[in-house]
Amino acid sequence: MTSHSGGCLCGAVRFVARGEPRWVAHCHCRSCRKHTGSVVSTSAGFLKENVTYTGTTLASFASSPGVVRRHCERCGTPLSYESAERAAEIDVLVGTFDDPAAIQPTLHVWTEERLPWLHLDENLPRYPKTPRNSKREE
Amino acid sequence: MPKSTRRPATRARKARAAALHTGGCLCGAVRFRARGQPLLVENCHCSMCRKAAGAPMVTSANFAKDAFRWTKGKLKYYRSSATGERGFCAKCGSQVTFHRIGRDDQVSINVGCLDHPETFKPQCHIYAADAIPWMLRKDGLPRHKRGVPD
Repeated sequence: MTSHSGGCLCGAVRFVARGEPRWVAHCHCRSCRKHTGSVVSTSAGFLKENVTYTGTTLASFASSPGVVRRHCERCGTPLSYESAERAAEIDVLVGTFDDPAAIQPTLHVWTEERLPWLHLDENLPRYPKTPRNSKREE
Repeated sequence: MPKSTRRPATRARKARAAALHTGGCLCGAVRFRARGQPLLVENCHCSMCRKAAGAPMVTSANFAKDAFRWTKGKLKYYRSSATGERGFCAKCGSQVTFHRIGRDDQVSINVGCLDHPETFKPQCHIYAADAIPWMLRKDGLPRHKRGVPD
């Protein structure tokens, strides 16, 4: 089985994700922008049982009801997103992969909050919110 | 020249110079404001910025130090290299600032932390040689293999 490794900038937190991601999403929501400080946040979805984090500096923050975002408390690197709505999954931020070019984005979510001048992978499916609660944009 | 006879371009330029840009981290513990136009807005594709932000690239707006002020809370800082120090919120993990050691006259704000990031369109790509291929599209912006030449 293939696996992807990664971790935070300072190296105190490392992870191994087994197998290929179930999806890789560009998230354009304001919260993900604020968490990463970036114009878009890209995450790879895995089943929680397939991702192992190691290290003693993992910190968590409940950014909204049912949501947990983790980061390294030593260097601040945002690491992951989990929600009660998708309790079996963990979204691993692709900037934390040792080789982010090894994975390919597969969709956009929260495009209703997209920065108007940000054009990226226009050919991928685009959802105003998520595939669970919105129709794909034509 | 009386105010009412100034050209529209001049009025617009003065408005941009006086504009106040607010922002902060995800949880709201840290807030800042910056006045006027940034010196530069750049997309950085280096692996350190990607790791620091967990993001496929980092877009930052450089402001002169005297145009910038913290209005609430304090960041925690990590010295990421001989030349760089990164500020983040210890509570929520937001990556907020980059400071180049030795350049105390400037501060770089990650534009995702601005309340209105749509205001800050990137002007160039730096460390384009290290970019994730799917993140660097043909957009006509200048591309620097490494940093912007001083």
